[in-house]
Amino acid sequence: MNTLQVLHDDFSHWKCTKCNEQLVFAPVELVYLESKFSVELPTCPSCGYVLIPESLALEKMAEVERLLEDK
Amino acid sequence: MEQHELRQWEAQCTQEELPHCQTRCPLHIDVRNFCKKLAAGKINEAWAILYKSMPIPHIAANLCEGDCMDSCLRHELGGSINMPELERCCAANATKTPPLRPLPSKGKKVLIIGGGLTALAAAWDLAKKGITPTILSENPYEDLASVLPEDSFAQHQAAFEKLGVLFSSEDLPSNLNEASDAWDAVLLATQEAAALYDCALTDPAILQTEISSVFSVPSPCIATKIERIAQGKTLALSAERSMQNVSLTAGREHEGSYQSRLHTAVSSISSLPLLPAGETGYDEATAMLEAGRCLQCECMQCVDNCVYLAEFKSYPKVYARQVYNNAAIVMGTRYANKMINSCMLCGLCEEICPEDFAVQNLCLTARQDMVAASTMPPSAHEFALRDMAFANTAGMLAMNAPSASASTYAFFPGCQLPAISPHLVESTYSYLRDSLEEPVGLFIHCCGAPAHWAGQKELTQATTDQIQKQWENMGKPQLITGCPTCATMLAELLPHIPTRSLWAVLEEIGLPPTARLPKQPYVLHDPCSTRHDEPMRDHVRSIASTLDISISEPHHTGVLTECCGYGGLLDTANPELSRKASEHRAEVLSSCTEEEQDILTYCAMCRDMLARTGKRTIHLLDILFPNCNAALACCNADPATIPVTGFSDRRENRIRLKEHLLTTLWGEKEHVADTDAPTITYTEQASANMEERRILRSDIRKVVTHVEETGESLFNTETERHVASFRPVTVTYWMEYTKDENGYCIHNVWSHRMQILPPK
Ligand code: SF4
Ligand code: SF4
Ligand code: SF4
Ligand SMILES: [Zn+2]
Repeated sequence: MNTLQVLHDDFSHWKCTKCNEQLVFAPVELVYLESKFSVELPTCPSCGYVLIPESLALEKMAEVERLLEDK
Repeated sequence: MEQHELRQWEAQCTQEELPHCQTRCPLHIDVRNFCKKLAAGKINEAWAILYKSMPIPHIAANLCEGDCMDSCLRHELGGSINMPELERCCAANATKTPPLRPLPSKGKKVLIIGGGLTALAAAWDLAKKGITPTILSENPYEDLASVLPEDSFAQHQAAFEKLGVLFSSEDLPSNLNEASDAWDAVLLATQEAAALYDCALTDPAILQTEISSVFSVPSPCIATKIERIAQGKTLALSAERSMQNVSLTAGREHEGSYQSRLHTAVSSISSLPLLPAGETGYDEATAMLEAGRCLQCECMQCVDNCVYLAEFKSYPKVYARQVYNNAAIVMGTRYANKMINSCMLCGLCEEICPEDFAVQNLCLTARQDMVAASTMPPSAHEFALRDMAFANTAGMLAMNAPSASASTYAFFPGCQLPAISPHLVESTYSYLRDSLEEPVGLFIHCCGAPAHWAGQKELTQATTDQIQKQWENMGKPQLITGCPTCATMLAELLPHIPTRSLWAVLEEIGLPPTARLPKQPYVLHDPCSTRHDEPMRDHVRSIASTLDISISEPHHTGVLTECCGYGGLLDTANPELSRKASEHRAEVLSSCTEEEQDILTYCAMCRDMLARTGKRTIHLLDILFPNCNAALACCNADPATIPVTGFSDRRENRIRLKEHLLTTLWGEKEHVADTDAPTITYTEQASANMEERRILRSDIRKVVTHVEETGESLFNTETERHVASFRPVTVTYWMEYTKDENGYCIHNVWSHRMQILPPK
């Protein structure tokens, strides 16, 4: 599976509170209605907490969700 | 949907039927389009339209006597469109004639006996098909050369030359049977020729005779000029088919004049007088104006009266096809989902359509089919269905009258009134208890409308089963319905449960003496669920009249009322269109009186949907029970200015009402709030985003609990705010927050349905 690059901002000022680690880009699987995508997202390297920023959720993800719902 | 059902739906919508002028015209000239082009000054394009369907157009356009005019819908509105003069003007002034391209020769030859319009028209059509016609006549043009404009006649002759039409003035054949053997077909084009050979017509519609390759006009033959040209066309087509050995009759039902089924509403169209033509006919400018009087007849009556039908830019016949195609898609995108889920299911179209096309049935069935096939988009109705589930669990209440073991009556306020105006439920219930002699219970439950509208048959059934059970437990009381949608739903889904509307009961027991007596007039909005409930509408009007309230009726009222934008779960499936519908309705209500009046309605949902447009709107109960109740978070404000109740507030109102009534009426212990839970506050921006993004305070409460339990969150070192998420079931909720000793302050929220699988 190709890993998609959808975020291009810098997320180095984000930290995982629990692990006190800086978030780094890591391939994450997103699943919806039997479709799976691999996407590079800011993630805690230790516990794996993934950040979905507001803009990603409201724009790209919402669009893909709508598309998949009509498939 | 099966294919035959699609055909039925399609047949019911007349929008694609031809206008009356066109079906009346024996040649079926596209008069509507012709007028449109001419009105726009596109005279060559108008000429091309005539040229396409008229045989011998240079002659026909000059001789037309306006057969269509007696059917023109302009007839009573200033006079029928003057087609004969328009055609003449067009023939005279067109500067470009479409190229004549006869098909390659088929090596067939047809003898046309007799001259005149029928013969010439038959020859034109045959020659265009690559069949060589010979007109056998001493005087094929009769007096045409002298009555036609010189130019036109010359153009006609040039065209005939190009088509290779042959003329002969030999003697007529003495034996028709022999002639029919010598030619591929023989046409008798005049009544004289027909009389001469006395060859009987066996099928007058297609001019077939007892000799298989001979076709003939009837004798005697009384016909207008255009009808004679049309006969030529019919002769040519019959001859062609007989030569090809294909069915002579198939698909020819609509040859010649017939009555169109097209409905066009003309009642609001003002009269415009016919423009007189001078000695030499219309000049181009006058012709443009005359053509501009054409009504461009079409139906579209339902579309013109429904925000939803207009939004998707087509009409029911096409929508039916889209629904059918949508269901047939196996792989690929179902583009009609949104359209199917956007109908308000209000039934206005059926009332308006002259053929009773019920789009609500089309769309509701389509939704049920989608649910059954598991192709319904999960997000389409989920929010509303979750709300319904909440109303029927945490918000549900089914109690007999205090200290009674069974109830003769039960007040059934529906699920929206408790959510929007809980104090009105309390005061109404209390008044009913005081006024009715027999015990009155209280039954707060959703009628199942959201599940029904969402196409969820099983969920609807489960909901009505629950109502049935509770109703039996209460001793089968008569339900007094406070919500018009509940009244409709109960009548449809649980017809054996006796119900009466609150308004009927109030009329009978008398209005509360505490009723506010407003000194102002109102414009009345009938909820769309009362469309077929005339008694309820009458009770409301009669209550208003008892209160001495003067009522204005909007343009669309009673059986023709419009939906507030909530029906069919539009607000969940397509919030933008829902808002449009509310605004449209508010506008209709505003514009029906000269002086702006407040809206009066009798459905809690309608009240909020109209109030959100900024229109001052009240519920009839606001007048009847003006006293407020601080325990139910109601303030003493002017009810017309009370803001719309948000999604979270609605849930909390239900709970508050239930607990309040249980403690005050049924003596239950007060519920002690969980004081350990951290306090959550919301910035204004966060609250606004929550409404728009359909995120509830209870959803955010779950995220906070999750953070409390796990300590998991992310931290933005630049903004110094935290972010955390939680996924209760199908949606992941995110909150951006700060936290101090006072608790959590939420700055923003968002959500998505996609699920994150964290890296291994
Ligand atoms: S009202 Fe609507 S559904 Fe009925 S015939 Fe006209 S366009 Fe078709
Ligand atoms: S108004 Fe126009 S479209 Fe309608 S019947 Fe008359 S000519 Fe035809
Ligand atoms: S049911 Fe109502 S919303 Fe749906 S098409 Fe008919 S008029 Fe429009
Ligand atoms: Zn971590």
